[in-house]
Amino acid sequence: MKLFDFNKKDEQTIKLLKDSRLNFSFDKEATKGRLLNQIAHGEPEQSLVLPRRRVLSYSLSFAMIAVLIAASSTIAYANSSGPGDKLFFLDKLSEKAVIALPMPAPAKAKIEAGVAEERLNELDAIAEKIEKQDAKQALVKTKAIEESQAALTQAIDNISEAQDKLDSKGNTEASKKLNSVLVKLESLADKNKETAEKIKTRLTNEDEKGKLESRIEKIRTAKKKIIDRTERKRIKNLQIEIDKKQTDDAATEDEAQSEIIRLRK
Amino acid sequence: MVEEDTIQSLVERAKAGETAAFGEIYDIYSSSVYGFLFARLRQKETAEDILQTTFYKAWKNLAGYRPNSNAKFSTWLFQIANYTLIDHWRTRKETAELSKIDNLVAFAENPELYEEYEYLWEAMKKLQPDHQTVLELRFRQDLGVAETAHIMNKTEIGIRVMQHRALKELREILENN
Repeated sequence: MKLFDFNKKDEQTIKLLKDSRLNFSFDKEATKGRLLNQIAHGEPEQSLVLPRRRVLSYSLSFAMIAVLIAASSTIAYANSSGPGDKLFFLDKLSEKAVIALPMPAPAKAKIEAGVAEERLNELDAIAEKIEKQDAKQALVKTKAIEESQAALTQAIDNISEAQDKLDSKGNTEASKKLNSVLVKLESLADKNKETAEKIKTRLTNEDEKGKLESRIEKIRTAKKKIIDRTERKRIKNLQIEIDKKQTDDAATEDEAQSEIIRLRK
Repeated sequence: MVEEDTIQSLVERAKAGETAAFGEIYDIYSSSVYGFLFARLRQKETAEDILQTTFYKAWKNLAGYRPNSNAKFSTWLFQIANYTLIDHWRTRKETAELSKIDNLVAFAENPELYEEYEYLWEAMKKLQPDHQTVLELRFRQDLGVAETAHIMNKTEIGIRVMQHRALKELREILENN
């Protein structure tokens, strides 16, 4: 049909589309495993209604167009979702995907600190709602604490490792910057230990209380790690400054001595 | 490229309950269906979930599948994938733009490809969903007009009109950028 034959510009666009074809990597075998498992367990039948095509079904065409236009054209997830929200798992998966990217350790450490901060802030938002929640709801929130504590511990470990690497390369400036991230995490950890303890009072199940207490203890340990580390770095930096000063003083003294000897001559 | 006769033979065995045969069907088509889904979703885990749902629906409805001279088995599979995708978008309420970082995940193994085609991906996102689908099926999945019409439940003339408009729109976006 000549009316819809491709012109030269169309051909260029089509070539671009074809050249951009890529085989996207995905967990083919894992997905297959889940599929076969789903088949084996005979989950409830999902209805499959495929519309029949009718040559002159204008009303059906319009209905379908309306549905597609009404659906969001922005493919997305809510970054503002928190633990317990339906889309929270997408938020977390996206974060994990970012952290899994190949990138320099200090950059990764900063991103993990950001993730930890986000988890901890989500916990704060949850705590505000906690007054209105009943004890059952509070159980869901313990999962949030688990998330935030795990994120905090992970961030601290990776920041510490990144700092050690930077120090060994003599990159003290970059190492100091990571220190400020640690200090921020410390204050967040304080805040969230408080929140976790508040949530604990809402729980009625002793098992859950016990689990939460162990998480709170881990937050305490993580905080102590930060304090010890920042204190060690502070002492080390102080020592470096003292050594430097002594070297400078010695150099100054040598210069002074040389000057005195020169003047005596 | 696997012969259609071979596919139909696997389908018959799968209809009889042979999951191994269905597993082979999955092995043959999963990459192309995933590619179609991922290009629209740009989110690996969601695309994998919908891929699984697509094949599961296909499994559960194999009894209703009839070989058709105008539509191969893959056409039927893509049709299921397309409608599962539409259902997915219809039920999702909260939205926010996907960040570039999410796109990077897909291209992490080939970062240079991301850099080369990022502008095209960004331009494609601005098209309406139907236009994105028709370009994806026709030119990335290399499907014919008849097949695409069957998958999208449109007439062949409708598909030709749509692809013409989609190409024009995409070109204008690229030129303006």
